[in-house]
Formats: sequence, structure tokens, C-alpha cells
Amino acid sequence: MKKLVSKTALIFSLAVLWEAVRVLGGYSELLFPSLRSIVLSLWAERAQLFANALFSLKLIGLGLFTAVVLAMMLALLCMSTKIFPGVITDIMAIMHPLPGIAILPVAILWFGIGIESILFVIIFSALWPLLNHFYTGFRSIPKNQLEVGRNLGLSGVKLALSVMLPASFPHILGGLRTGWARAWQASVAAELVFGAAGGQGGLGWYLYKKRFLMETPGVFAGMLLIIAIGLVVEYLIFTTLENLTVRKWKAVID
Amino acid sequence: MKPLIKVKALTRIYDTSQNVIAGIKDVSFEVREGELVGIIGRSGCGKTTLLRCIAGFEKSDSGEIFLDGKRVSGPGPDRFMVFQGLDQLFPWLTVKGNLIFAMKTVNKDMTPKELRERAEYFLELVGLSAWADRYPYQLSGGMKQRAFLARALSVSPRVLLMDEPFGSLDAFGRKAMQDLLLKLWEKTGITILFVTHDIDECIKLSDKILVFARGTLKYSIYNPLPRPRMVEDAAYREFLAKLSRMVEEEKDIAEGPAREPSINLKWADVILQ
Ligand SMILES: Nc1ncnc2c1ncn2[C@@H]1O[C@H](COP(=O)(O)OP(=O)(O)OP(=O)(O)O)[C@@H](O)[C@H]1O
Ligand SMILES: [Mg+2]
Repeated sequence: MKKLVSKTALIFSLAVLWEAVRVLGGYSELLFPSLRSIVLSLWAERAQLFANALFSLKLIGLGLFTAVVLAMMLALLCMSTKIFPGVITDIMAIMHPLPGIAILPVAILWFGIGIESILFVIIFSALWPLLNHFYTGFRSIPKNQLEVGRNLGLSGVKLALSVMLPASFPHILGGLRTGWARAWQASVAAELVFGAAGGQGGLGWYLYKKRFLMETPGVFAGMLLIIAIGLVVEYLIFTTLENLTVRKWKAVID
Repeated sequence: MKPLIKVKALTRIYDTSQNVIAGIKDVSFEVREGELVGIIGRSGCGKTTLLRCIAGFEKSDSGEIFLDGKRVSGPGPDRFMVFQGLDQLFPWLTVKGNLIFAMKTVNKDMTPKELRERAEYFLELVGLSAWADRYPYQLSGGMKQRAFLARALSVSPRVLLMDEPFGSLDAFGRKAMQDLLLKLWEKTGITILFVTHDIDECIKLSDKILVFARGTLKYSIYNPLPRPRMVEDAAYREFLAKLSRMVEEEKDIAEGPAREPSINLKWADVILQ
């Protein structure tokens, strides 16, 4: 409850600050729209925004899922072979600093202008931080716990699922958080850069159109929605997941 | 009687860069069913290595280990190990959950009800009933060790391997755990190999004592004292002095020129090998 109050207060003060800067600075509505017009635009275009948000979320969901599966397999390979870790860490060192959006031109060359390219950028953006977190997590599992698992006769996939996964869950959760953020950023960035294929697009495409048409309140409305979705996912999904797992087990410091 | 465990010329040498030979060399001994065997020796003499080889976590360079006539080739629940360290419970499961997970993994046929009842039975045995639904972080060190014991026994191994099980406890906790271990041993008749560096603990608990020094098995002797063993008894103190000398002997060798063991072994009831 206290948290809710402080969060509402924070949002409220940000809104006040926004209006104060706008009024005192005397900026034009085109550059710095009023909260009122942003909210009005948000409401007026709710159907369109909803469709675009849904499209983005589906794409991100698919991309993130693929990236998680890939990262998990690579991390497990790293744990079970001798040469793989070296190779993967080198590749990771090369790929990780590369912004996902930087490979968009390559993606377009390979997959053409369309959903596949955006998906590729999303997967690429999320894969490396995910792999990094998963691999770090697996390596930080207490040796005793792994050996208890092996002592019970577990090995391979069974050991991975029933011991390694829960034992490294704090890191896995951290990876999911970062991966989600990267995927979100990548999807918006990719659409902002080259728009959308066909009539379909996500929130990035929405921002692109609104900027093109100089409908500034619409640009901010789209941004507001992106932020809102981010907050909802963080508090509804990740925080809940955290409370049900690592916090309950005291695997993380409060 | 056929031995339950047979270790034959077991050698496990670690490659250390400094040209120091570490590990165990040419170790042979036998353990009969139901025996409580204490393994003692100075730090670094290979006690943990031996236990890990028997558990199947370490591959031997040469030599063989047999359990009940079958060659040991990897880890398995018939030899359950209690490790050094307090992080052996899975933190994402309650204490009871840890026992249930272990039993379920080893024996797929047990019903949820059976699993629950069996877990409760073993927690009761070690006096942890009240803590069954707590998470590992809520347990003290001594309670965790009780939980390790309960879990180990719950999977019905042929042999319990314990690596300095009570090393991290204070004198009171240690005494309580020693008594508990003896009680459980008498109740279940399980075969136990435990490593310790506490000579008193070794004398109090073991039927048979293996003295290690620098990777080799120096002495394999039976404990001549009847149970319960009391520190006040003259026989106890005499045995303690002799066992201490056997363990300490290595120190003289390490510090002075090599020489033949100077100890008189006639006192022991039985000398093996
Ligand atoms: N994985 C390993 N790699 C290299 N050397 C090792 C390894 N494990 C153990 N050793 C070495 O083998 C020797 C025996 O180690 P071990 O752990 O068996 O001793 P210990 O008798 O259990 O000692 P302590 O009483 O201190 O636990 C030591 O010299 C140790 O440094
Ligand atoms: Mg040791």
C-alpha cells in the first residue's frame, strides 16, 4: 500500500514537472504537447494502439521464447563440453556489445523487409544477455547441490531441469528481465528504422507514422504506452515471479 | 562373511603443477556390512579423495572398488554421500520437500502419500519434525546436518559416506550429532564410512579405523573398546594415546628424515592385513 502511494506520488510529480516545463518554457504544442492532448490522443486512437501493442507483444513473445530456448541450449552445452565454453565466451564477447539494431541491414539482406527481419533482430538482441546470465547462473550453482543430484542418479536433461534450473534461478530471472528489455527495445527500434511490412506493424511502426505525420501528441502517446507495458510486465510478471521463487527461498538479498 | 565394500589397490593421483604428488596411492581395504568405519588422518592425506572415489565422483587411475561384488563405476544412490559444507539442501524446497525429492528420484514407484509419510518418519528420527515445512535458510547449521542425515537415510543406501560431517559444529552440537548417528546406526544397521580429523570422535564412533598418511593407508585396525565408550575409562585413554601416535607419526616423518614406523602395534585386538 505504502509502495502504491509512493509510486502514484512519483508519477504525479513527473506529470506536474512536465506541465511546468512546458508552460514556463513556452514551447509549441508541436514540440512539447500538453498532457491533455497526449491523453486525448491516447484515448482517440485506443483501438489502433491496442492492435499495434498486441502485434509488438506477439512478436516479442515469439522472439524472446526462441532466444530463451537457444540460450538455454547453448548454456547447457557450455556446461557439458570442454571446448564449447571457450568458443561461446569468445563469440559472446564479440556479439554482446553489438547493438541488435546494428545487424538490421544484414537481417534485411538475408530475410528481406518483413517480420522475419524484425524477429531476427529481436532474437539477436535478447540472446547474448540471456546466454550470459544463464551460463553465469549455471556456473554459480553450489558444487554440493549438483553432486547431491548426481548422487541421486540424475544426469543430463533430468539434472538440468530438476536441479540446475532451480538452483540458478536468481540468474535466470535476471536474464529474463534483461532479455525482455532488450527484445522490447529491439522491436521498437527496428520498426522505427524501416517501418513495417504490409499494413501490419507494432508500436515502433506507430511512432514512425505519427512522427512522419507530425502528430506529436500521438508520438508521446505511443511512448507512454511502451512505458506502461514495461511497468506492467515488471510489476505483474517479474516481481510476482520473484516473490514466488527466489525471495521465498531467500536466494537473493532483499 | 563376504565384505560389502572392497577397495583394491585404488590409486587416484592429481596432476599438480608444483610437482607435488597428491591424492591416494595403492589403497586396499574391506568393509563388512553394518560396520561403522572411521577414516582419520592429517589434512590433505586423501580422505576426501577416497570417499569421492567410492561415491563415484572421482575416476580412479588404477585399482577397483566393489560394492556387494559389483564394480563401482559412477555415482549412484546405493552409496549416498554427506559432503563437507552446509549448502547441500536444495534451497527451493522445504526440508520435507528435499527428502521427498530425493526419494522420488531414487524410487519412482512410491505414491505421494508414502513419500510424505516416509519423509515425516525420517525427520522424526532426527528430531526435525517441527521444521519439516521450513526452507533451508531457516535452519541452523546443526539442524541442516540432521536434515542431511535424514535425507541420506531416506533413500536407503547400502553405504553412507560422510565427509567430516560434524566438522562445523561446536562441542555440544557435535556430541549431540555423534549420539544421533550412533542411534540411527544401531536402529538401521546401515554401513557407514565417515571421515574425521577428531581422534575422540573416531574412537567414540567407529568399529574399525583406517589411518591415512600422505595418500596411503597406514593402519587398518579394529576398535578394541566396548560400547558405550567413556573418556573416563583407562582403556579409552590408552587407546587414545596410541591412535594419536599413529596419526601424529606422519608429522615426524614429514618434519624429520624418513624412518620406519616406531609404534608398537601389539595392543590392538585385531590387526587387519
Ligand atoms: N581436484 C583436485 N585437483 C588437484 N588436487 C587435488 C584435488 N582434490 C584434492 N587434491 C589434493 O589431493 C590431496 C588430498 O586431498 P583430500 O581433499 O582428499 O584431503 P583430505 O584428507 O580430505 O584433507 P582435509 O582433512 O583437509 O579435508 C591434497 O593434497 C589436495 O590438495
Ligand atoms: Mg577433506
